[in-house]
Amino acid sequence: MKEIGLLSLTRFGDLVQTSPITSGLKRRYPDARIHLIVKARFRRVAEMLPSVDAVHEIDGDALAQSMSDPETPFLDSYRMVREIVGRLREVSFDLLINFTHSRSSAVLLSLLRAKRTLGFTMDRNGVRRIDNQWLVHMGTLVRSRKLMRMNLVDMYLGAADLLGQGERLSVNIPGSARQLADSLLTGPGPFLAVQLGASQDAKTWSIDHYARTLEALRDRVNGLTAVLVGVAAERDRAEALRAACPKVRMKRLVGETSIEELAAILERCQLVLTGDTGTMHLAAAVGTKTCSVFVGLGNPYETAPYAEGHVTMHSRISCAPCSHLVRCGYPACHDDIPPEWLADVVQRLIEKRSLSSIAAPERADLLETVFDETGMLALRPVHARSPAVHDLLGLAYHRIFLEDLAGIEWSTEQIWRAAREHFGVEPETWGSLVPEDLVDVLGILESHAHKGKLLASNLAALPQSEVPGYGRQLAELDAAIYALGRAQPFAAPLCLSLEGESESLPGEELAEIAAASSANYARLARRARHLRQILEGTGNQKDRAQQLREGNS
Amino acid sequence: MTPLERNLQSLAARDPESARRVAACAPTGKVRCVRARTGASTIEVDGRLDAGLEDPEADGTSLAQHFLTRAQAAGATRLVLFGLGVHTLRFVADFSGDILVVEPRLDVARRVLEIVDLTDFLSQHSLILTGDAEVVFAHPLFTAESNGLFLSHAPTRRRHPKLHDLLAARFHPGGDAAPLDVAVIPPLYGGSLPIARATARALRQLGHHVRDLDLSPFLPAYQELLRCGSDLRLSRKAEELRAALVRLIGETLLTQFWIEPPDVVFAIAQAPLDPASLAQLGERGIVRAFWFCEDAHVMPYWSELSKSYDVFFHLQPDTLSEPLRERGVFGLPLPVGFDPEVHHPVELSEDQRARYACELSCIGAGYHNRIEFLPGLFDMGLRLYGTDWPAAEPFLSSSPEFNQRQTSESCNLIFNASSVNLNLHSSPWTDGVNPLGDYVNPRCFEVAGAGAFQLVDERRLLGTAFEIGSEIDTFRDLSECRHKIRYYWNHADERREMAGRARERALRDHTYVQRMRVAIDALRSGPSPALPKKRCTPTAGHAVQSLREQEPTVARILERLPSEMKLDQEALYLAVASGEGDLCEEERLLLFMREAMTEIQILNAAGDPA
Repeated sequence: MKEIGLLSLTRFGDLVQTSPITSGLKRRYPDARIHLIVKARFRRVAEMLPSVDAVHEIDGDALAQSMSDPETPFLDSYRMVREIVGRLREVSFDLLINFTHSRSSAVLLSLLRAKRTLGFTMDRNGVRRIDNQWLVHMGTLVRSRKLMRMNLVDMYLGAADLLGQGERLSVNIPGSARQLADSLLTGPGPFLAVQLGASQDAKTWSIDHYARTLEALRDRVNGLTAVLVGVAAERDRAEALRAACPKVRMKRLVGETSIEELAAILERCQLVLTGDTGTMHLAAAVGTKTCSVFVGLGNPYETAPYAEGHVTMHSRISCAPCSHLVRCGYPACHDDIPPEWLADVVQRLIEKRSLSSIAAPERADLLETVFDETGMLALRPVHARSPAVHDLLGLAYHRIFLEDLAGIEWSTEQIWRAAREHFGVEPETWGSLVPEDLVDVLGILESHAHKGKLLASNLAALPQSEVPGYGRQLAELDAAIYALGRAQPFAAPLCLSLEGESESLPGEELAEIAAASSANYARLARRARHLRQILEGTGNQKDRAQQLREGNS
Repeated sequence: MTPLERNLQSLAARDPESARRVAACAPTGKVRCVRARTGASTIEVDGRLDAGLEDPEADGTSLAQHFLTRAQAAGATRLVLFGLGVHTLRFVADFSGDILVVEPRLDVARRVLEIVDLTDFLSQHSLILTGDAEVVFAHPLFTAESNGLFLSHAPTRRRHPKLHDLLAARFHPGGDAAPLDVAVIPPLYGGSLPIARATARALRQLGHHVRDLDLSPFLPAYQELLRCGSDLRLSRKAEELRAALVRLIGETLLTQFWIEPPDVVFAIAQAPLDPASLAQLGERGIVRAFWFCEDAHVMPYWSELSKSYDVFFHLQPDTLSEPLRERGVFGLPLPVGFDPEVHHPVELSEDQRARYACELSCIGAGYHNRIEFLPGLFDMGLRLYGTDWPAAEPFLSSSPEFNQRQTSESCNLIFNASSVNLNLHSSPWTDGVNPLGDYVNPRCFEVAGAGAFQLVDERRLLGTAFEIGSEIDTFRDLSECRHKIRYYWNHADERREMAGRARERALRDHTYVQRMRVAIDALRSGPSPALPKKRCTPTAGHAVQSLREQEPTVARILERLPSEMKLDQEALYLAVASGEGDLCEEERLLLFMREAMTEIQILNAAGDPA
């Protein structure tokens, strides 16, 4: 393996989150050159990542301008695209990994003629494929956000077969940047870096909330300086904050620093108060603790900083986190984090005091990042509270899927124990929380899956004339399975997984497709059975489930 | 030195003759100098002020700014300004291109040069003082090929409407003017519908982005209301409902234009747009043009409707030019034409020959004059095609496809299959040839374009389109018609030669492409010049043209799309999906563009920069 490329055409934060992969790949293939393909505006972020030998940029802004400007001739845009591809082809990639969950990146991967690819790509018929179970699972994760519990970095590590090797976020900071940070942030502090903006409005906590938090902190923490960081486009927000709390001591560095200098400044601070942002990941990468407010689209289970001891919070409102398919016009979740209470949290974090005695917020969860016994990032609630059904099922699904993805075994007792630790609930009380029909639905799913497995495994041996008929039966079966997932959202992850896996069946020969399809149904049957067993063990409708099984047999 | 002396000195350096004429022009009482409250002066011509008395300088600056903005938007390097605005020219002197000012009145010019110092302007730009259109036409700046714009000073336009319209109509913007986004609004049905289609095709051939609007879904409702209207007791209500339906159609079109307004709405006669909808289109800065390709004597609706349009094209200059001017409407004669793609010589197959071949034919609707005139030719074997003929003899036995609507393609076959095509212009009032007939109907151009021979009734304007006796022949009455039919039957060579000359002339002067070139020039130089608000989204056809030589494979892929299809993400997807086999390199690159475009749009919509 000589040339390994990583396609990461997303944003600043996503790029920082790939740092464990670049370092992990270098550790595994010490002689290989690691290439990063990124958007031009994030080139300097990419250059800070560890073990990266070459950075290739795609000027997304110029491409966007060219393709969206009706005055630019089509030929110019076409040639710009061809030139991008031609430049990237100058490297003969032995392995090209694509973690960018976009169709354009899938097409690009297929254009780059790598010897081996991993991740989102497109086959020669133009069909998008995902040739990795971890990344297929990502599709389930983004469509069933309330029930999934897996950090994006673990998913990347799993996809690259680097899970459990202790890789962490990291970036290289030049000495000159550190010197500048030292010169800018003089005195004992403490310094609280504050990142006011986020990539989308729906993920951005309001200035008023930040102002109230800082105002409350002013009297509590001696010598506190709020160091406002961010990009130039966020200067207005910084101005607004200054106007809203003029007595708070502030150092305004919004739009004043390079990315390397930002990293050094975050390193110099005691804590970073932020939303779900690239700055949050960068802070984690330089070893500075963060206190993050996840609102709107932000889901701490997916993108909390990949490091231990960080604190994050999010609303428990039923619609949080937002679906990727909506643009919220009434972000009530923003008000569920009380600023004065948050000031208390921040104060304790700066003073390195325990959070356990802090009052539990009425409508939000305060969570702490830990690496659990599987070596993956988990979020532990600071306060035990009554669980909602998705809290319990989230624990169960995580272990069920992890078994398929990473071969990590689990037991029902482990899940019950986690539920006891996180929420103080005994297995017997699960039954009062989980919907009555869920066990029934799981039984039907299992039955459908067995039928599908049988049909699919027979497919390869059929005479050609009978294949279409079987195909139709399978399509009808799939439709029934997906309909169950829509009717019972708590079973949706199982159905969505089958959908994702069916879209990326490997091979072109019928026998190969049939075998893979059969394996997908087998997995669905196993997952449904496991979840049912967990629920039955809690006393949830045990008798009815038993009756159903008997009926099926 | 007085301003006049300085100005004359400056003018003389470039145009001594004009300077001499101004100097020699004795001031008259018809043009007076009037001082405004600000101290600046303006002029009063024939008792009407040229500018407001509040602040004439500000008025001049504002008009100059308007001119310069328009010039910049059009990328014009050449301006022809109709009229000397008192304070305007000072502020356009710095225009980087050439300016030609046309001032028809010497006494006005003299007064203006007495009031304001135009030495900067006169030392750089051209002024011609004439009311003779031919003199203006001959000026090199009027006829140059560079990208130009014709703009007018409103009081001068008011004083010289005929000259203005003449110059505006003849002005050719030249240069590489950006294509316009034109919505062609067809009628719901009827004889103007093929003209609407031909108009759209021609505009497309000229490189403009054309929106073909299909109003046929509204037709059944309209026809039902027409049917109801035949009942006397329901007629009034049905008429109200028809008006309501027209309003609905107008609103529907407005809705379609809401997000992406076209530069021009080009409505064809009987297009269902009511004044309220047209007013809204105007408020949105859309230039409204109407092609009234009907007989103004028969269809008087032009009188009110024309006021709702910025440019009103018509067939009858003698009838309409003056009345339109009186109504303040910018009207221009624009004859109909033919589309060589549809009407052309054709070698008939055996079947077609068996079906259509004949010695004498006539296609048309059963208007009164035809019903009266044509039975006089049935004994000569006339075959009658078209609709609305009386379901009675002798029409029944002379109509091989009685009252069936013929397509443009079948008409072309009939023209080609007939030794003599008879073209009698319609009239609801006269018994045969209309003695007052002026305009030339589409059939005349179509038969010529088909390379077929026709005999046509005399029309006042026919001689401007064809050379009578050489390219076309006419008849004044039934007797002459019968005589000439026999003559040409007996002189097949003469017939063929004349038809050949008619086709040559038609191809040279009478295609819809030529008509639309004239129309677009007029739209660009009219009182509300149509300028592209933005470059149109390129169509697949445009892209194919630009790619054919340099990227032939990509051009071939895009050729899978209809040429007028907007080249957006979906078009790229369709082009790739329409191929066969494994995706080639170019198809993958196009798919990448498609996906990237889609993602950019999604991110932009979410307020998240790409």
